[in-house]
Amino acid sequence: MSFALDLCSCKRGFFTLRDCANSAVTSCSACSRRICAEHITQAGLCVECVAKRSEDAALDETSTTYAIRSRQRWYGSSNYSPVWWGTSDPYWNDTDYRWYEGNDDDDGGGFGDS
Amino acid sequence: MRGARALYAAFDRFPSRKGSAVHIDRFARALFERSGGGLLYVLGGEGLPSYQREGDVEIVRYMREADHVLERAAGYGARLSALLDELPDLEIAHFRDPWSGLPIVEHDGDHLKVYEVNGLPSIELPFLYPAIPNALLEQIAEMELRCLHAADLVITPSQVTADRLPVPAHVVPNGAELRPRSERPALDRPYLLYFGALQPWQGVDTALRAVARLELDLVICASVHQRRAKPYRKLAEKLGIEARVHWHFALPEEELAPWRDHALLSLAPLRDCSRNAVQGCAPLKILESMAAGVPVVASDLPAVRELLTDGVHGRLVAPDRPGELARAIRVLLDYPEERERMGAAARAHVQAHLTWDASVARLQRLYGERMPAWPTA
Repeated sequence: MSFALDLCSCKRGFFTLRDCANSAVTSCSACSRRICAEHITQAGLCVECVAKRSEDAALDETSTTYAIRSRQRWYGSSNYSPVWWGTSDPYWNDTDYRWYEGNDDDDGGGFGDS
Repeated sequence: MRGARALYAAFDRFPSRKGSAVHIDRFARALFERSGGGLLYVLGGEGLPSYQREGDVEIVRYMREADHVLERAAGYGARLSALLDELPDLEIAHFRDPWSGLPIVEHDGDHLKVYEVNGLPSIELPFLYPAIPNALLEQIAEMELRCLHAADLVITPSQVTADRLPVPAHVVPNGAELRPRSERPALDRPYLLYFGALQPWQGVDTALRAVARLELDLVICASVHQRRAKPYRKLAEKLGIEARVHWHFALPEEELAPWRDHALLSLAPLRDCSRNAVQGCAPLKILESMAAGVPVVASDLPAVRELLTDGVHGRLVAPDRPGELARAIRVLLDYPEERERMGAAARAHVQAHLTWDASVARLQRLYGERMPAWPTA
């Protein structure tokens, strides 16, 4: 008879990732995955869900707002308008996005390579 | 996160199979060793987790996808801006691109700013998106300039890049690691090798056209998704060599190493274009082939001459000339003892001058010179 191991769903490693080998002690209240004591937070969320929520919070002030805020700091002096954001802000030029062929970035971001 | 003294930021997925990931791995580790840990902020995707803690290093990955690469870059910047607010003890922020750099240089804080210039999007983007408006490129160039002027330390792997930057820059070469020779891969005949990414500036089309003039197989180990290979597969078909071109995609190092170690020659047919000739580059494919004792036949460009000497460590040929590339390959095929001599000289050259250990020591010296709390090694 074999028993499935109840292991943590998180990953470990820096350059090469592997599964966490710790036994799960609970489930994340957001993603429901089984999580070990090291990867669960006091709020009952796994560390990955906490990070995603922090990202959402940072982006609540949407990218558009961020760009506009940044524009006021520095972009304003250079008129940087990388993309049409779909707002009615006349600042954005709706021809600016047409050079981009779509979301086919499967190279992991960046542009160059070493 | 509070308490982190060091930040390394890159608008790049990490880890990945690309050469840039090897570079990030080495330099981020060097930074965190020096600072006693820190925060690595990179892109996620491909199943990578949004957060990890590895000892005293935290890894935060930007996860949100976007329809437009620059929309994603803006979101990445917004998240970085928020992260910086959570780092009151930050002493050093090391960044690889203007998308990371702008939030860092605009953020209030007395931390050392290190700009690692591997490439300039204002030069590289038109190769990837030919229709990108010039006005936008000029704006991106201004962003780069803003980051360059605000940085306390600018480093780059190539003297060509250092010479073209409008601020003083220190060359910290890319490196390679000398490894034991691996087992022979499963191909029963001799082959040429190209490995790396497939951007237009790499000259993979030149390699294919050269192979069409030879009776020899070409193994291509692409570090990116196979979708990127489509135009090159079509070209191979058109040239009638598709049966002699063997494709592999996103191989991990242990699977790439056998192909590299047992190649007759390794090809780096870089195009003579602004990205390579004006901006500069330091291809890891060249260094890693040399470290494996495999002679490289590469384009004769100033950035490549920094890495190898023609006739000593390999051969340099005129870029974008498949006939000349094929001729140089044919000559080397006829002189196996010459190939062996060049391979051994290349490996010795890397061991003496171009290891990652040497690069990391140089980087840490530069950090130490600017960080009184970090004694120079």
